[in-house]
Amino acid sequence: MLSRPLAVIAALGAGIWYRNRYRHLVINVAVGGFGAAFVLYIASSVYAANFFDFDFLLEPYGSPDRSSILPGLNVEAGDPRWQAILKGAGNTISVVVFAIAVSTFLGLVIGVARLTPNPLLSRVAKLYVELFRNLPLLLIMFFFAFAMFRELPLIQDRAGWSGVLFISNRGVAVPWVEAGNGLWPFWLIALAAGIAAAAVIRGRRMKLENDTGQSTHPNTWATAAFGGVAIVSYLALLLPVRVTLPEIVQAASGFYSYEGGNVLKLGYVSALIALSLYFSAFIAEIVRGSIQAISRGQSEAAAALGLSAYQQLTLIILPQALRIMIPALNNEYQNANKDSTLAHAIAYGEIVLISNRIVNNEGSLLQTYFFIFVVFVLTNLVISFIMNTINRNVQVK
Amino acid sequence: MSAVTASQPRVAQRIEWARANLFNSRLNSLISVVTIAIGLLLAFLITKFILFDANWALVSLNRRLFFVSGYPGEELYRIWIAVFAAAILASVSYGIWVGRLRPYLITVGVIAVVVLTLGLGTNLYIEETPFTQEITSGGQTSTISGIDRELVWEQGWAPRWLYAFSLGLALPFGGSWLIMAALLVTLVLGALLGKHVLSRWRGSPVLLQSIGAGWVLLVPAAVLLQLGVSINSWGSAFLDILIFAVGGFFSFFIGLVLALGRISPYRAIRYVSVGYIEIVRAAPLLVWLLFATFLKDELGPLGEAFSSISLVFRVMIVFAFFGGAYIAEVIRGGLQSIPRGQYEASNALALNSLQKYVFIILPQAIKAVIPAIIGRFIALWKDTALLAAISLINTLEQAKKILAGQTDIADGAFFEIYIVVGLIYWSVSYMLSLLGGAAEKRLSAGERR
Amino acid sequence: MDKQDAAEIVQIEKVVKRFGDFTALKSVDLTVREGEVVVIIGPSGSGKSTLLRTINQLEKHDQGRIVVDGIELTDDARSLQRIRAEIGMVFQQFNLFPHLTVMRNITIGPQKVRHLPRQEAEELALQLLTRVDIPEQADKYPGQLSGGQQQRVAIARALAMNPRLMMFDEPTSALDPEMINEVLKAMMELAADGMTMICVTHEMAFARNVADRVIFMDEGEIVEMSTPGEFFTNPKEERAKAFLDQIL
Repeated sequence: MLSRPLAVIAALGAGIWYRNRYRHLVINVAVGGFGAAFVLYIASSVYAANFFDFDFLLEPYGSPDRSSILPGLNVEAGDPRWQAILKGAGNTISVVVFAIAVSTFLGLVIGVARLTPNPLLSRVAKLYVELFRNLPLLLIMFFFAFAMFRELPLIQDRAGWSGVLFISNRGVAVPWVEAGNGLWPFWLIALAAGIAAAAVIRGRRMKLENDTGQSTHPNTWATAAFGGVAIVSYLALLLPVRVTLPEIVQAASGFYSYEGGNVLKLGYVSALIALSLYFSAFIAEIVRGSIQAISRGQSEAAAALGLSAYQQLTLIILPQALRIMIPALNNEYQNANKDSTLAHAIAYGEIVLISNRIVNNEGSLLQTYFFIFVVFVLTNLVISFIMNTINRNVQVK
Repeated sequence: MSAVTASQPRVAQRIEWARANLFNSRLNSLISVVTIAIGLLLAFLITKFILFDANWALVSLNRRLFFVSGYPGEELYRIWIAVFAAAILASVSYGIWVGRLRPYLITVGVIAVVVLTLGLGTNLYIEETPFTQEITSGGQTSTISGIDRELVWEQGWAPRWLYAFSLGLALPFGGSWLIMAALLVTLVLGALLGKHVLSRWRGSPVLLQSIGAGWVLLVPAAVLLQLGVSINSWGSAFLDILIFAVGGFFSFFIGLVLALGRISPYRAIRYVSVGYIEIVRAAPLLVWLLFATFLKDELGPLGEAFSSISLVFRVMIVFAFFGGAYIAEVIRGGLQSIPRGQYEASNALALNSLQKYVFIILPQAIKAVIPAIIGRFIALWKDTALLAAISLINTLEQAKKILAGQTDIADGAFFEIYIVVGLIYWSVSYMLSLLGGAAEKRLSAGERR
Repeated sequence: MDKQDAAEIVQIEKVVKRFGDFTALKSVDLTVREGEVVVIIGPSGSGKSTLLRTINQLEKHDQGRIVVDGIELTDDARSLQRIRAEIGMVFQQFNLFPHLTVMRNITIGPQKVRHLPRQEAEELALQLLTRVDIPEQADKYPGQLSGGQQQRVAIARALAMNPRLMMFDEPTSALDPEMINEVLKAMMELAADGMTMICVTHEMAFARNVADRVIFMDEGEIVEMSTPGEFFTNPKEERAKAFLDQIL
């Protein structure tokens, strides 16, 4: 039997518990306290694990990693560790940027192919999508790294086309650009200015076309403006960049090597191909879904206005489909960014691979992984920012 | 005679269809021709590879490794029990709720023919012959001894190229002919039972609840069944499926709790849920997995306790908590799609919060996002491939090991091995995506009703 | 009239409700006695629905006092649940539970809140469905019914809790014209049985024939309160006159 004081306390407790405002107070304090205690616990153990001792970052990295596509991003044994981590992040970015570009292009093509009235083409596109989106990304990477690129020709076999592309077990040699003189940064600025000028001119011509009804060729004008700026500044800056083409040369000692162009290491190429194939399947689905969502009533209305099929697609359907596409693409690009970490399993020197070597040598797990975390938060924020900016510009105002 | 006259218009129809759809404009004709040409070329190359160029011997020889890795043979009954339970549930559910028996029986029949007959009489094994060799160099004679290994293929009744079709599927797990036959019979009987007997009570909540309970209990029961076997011998597809099942099972409930936490009226609970979801989703799964692998005592006693668990269970925990953060967002979408009137009507009926969510809100919210949840499960299944990156022997890693360890007997079977591994991963996620598609179709049909 | 002497079931005193800067109810007073049928009318945005919804606290009031069945509405969760169980509510959009059968829609309240055994709850549900003329629909899902049938199920669902007060929030506004009468008929029968009712509605015929009292609201205030005979023939306030001119 419940004794009297207990009963009183129980009644009082129930009285408090069933009053909303007290219940909120009790639960918020309890859960908040628990959360705060957890954060405190993590903070204190992090502190106890010498989290704020960053001296290990100044020591040399120890072993070289030459899997980058840019010579400057290759990790050298003497590099301090902080620099190695940054280079690793650079390697992550250099595969993600190209993977996003290639997979977006492929995805657009496949997505539109799925919607063509030609049943053969649309079925082939569907096959492609179903194949790649149901396979694990890591398996695709392994397939290229360990099966496809396992037995490649030797360099002296000269497999490929001179000046365009060579493939051998040392990597894939492709044409590349290099600085012609020290003025190349100014040329990049000029190019950016050219894009801005082209956008302004296109806007003007569009307005003129809308106002007068005359055809003003806005795209031709914009292209010409950009081309003009690019060529003039290129000449004015005394040829700031030049293209170098890959060749295979034999030294006097009989030793063969690539010369000119850039040699993409096989780890990079496998990661790039796998990421591109895998994410192009998802992007194709996004493209298909968003075009389908728009096209039903809209293309009929556009056709009723007498617009051609091409005009329907570019003027009516795509601008609207973009609005649905971009948030989904944003998500997919962030996934591509995060999934690029898988490339560490095929020995591409992206941030996780570089960092793990530090963890193995030093045991500085918390600090190093905290950097990885920060890198992904930042890069995803950048992707988000870019996509949101694009999104604002395509939204109907 | 009649067959010919009947087929005549059909051919004409086909031609008519092709003309209308494939060759109705110059551009379209070009597209069709190019597609057909590339398609034929690819089909030719693939067929040639599968039937003639490929060496499936290595796949066939290692099929047990692909499915169960080093699981002790005398304990295999534990896996078979789980497989049979899953087969009964799947076939009965199919019979009751899908019920299209013809394509089902045809599929099972084809698999039966392939699995049960093609391997008959075939014998594949490695013959090991010890050898000694005397090497004389510089007047000194030394003896080298070793084992020479050779793959022996005793042909069964099927020609070698036809045998290639089975892609080493025949008798997976190294199970006996009898067990495979029993499994296929179970699949057929289960579907027939579901369709012709149980579907009468399709609307009854008792049937739904008991089969649902069977599915829900399958995962813990199957895992408990494995506990008698050392974790070190868990591997390959078995390990992938186990981690997927356990991770998926718990991630659903974690996601449910987090989703409810995100819309909780209590501010502190909301903040904790949002913080958890955002932090987990900010980093890649691989980073969490590696962190869980490396973690020793860095996070105090909690971290120490965590690191003392065996790696397989740590991975399961990471999968559950990582998947939970994503499923939480999916379920939150479902909760947001429930109109306010449903909450108000439950309040007006004086249902308390628990009753309101259990009986009214959650059944509708979860049903609305079943396709998206299945999508998350597909992602989780594909993510099990990542175990290869943290030195657990999953299917992908097993393939690598086979290739590394048996180069002397079957050099260069790299494509064959990766194709089979791909097929294992692909078929599970494709089946899941078919399930998701069916759920989606059913849901949109329900809306029109 | 004996209804004047009946017990007070709802007392509303100086109730204020704000949504941000907008004041939806400006100091409203109202008393409803047992057995009374009160009809609230007024232009849209006048606060009729808000007033109704404060009575079972779907909207929390900011100031003033609401007493239902002798219990004051505070933020005490237990008394709120007790009061909600005593008030049946019928919504404009029906708000039936689409994933439950009609039978289950009706029995879930009595079973889970009143703890009625399943069999009793189902017998009660069938009785109520018969009362609203759709006993044959018990095993269907709400989506398979017409709007009028759904609203009658909603009435049955509310009645199943054996409420002391029924509230109707524009129950016919979402219905096709040919279905309005079947719902009004059910409501009239209910009134004839002596149920205490508060109805927000645009059905003036219903107000004229069934109501004991008509309340006219505008801009969050009760502007006029009188018997239907008086209100419809001789409204005192200008705003009420203007409103009646618009709709009659």
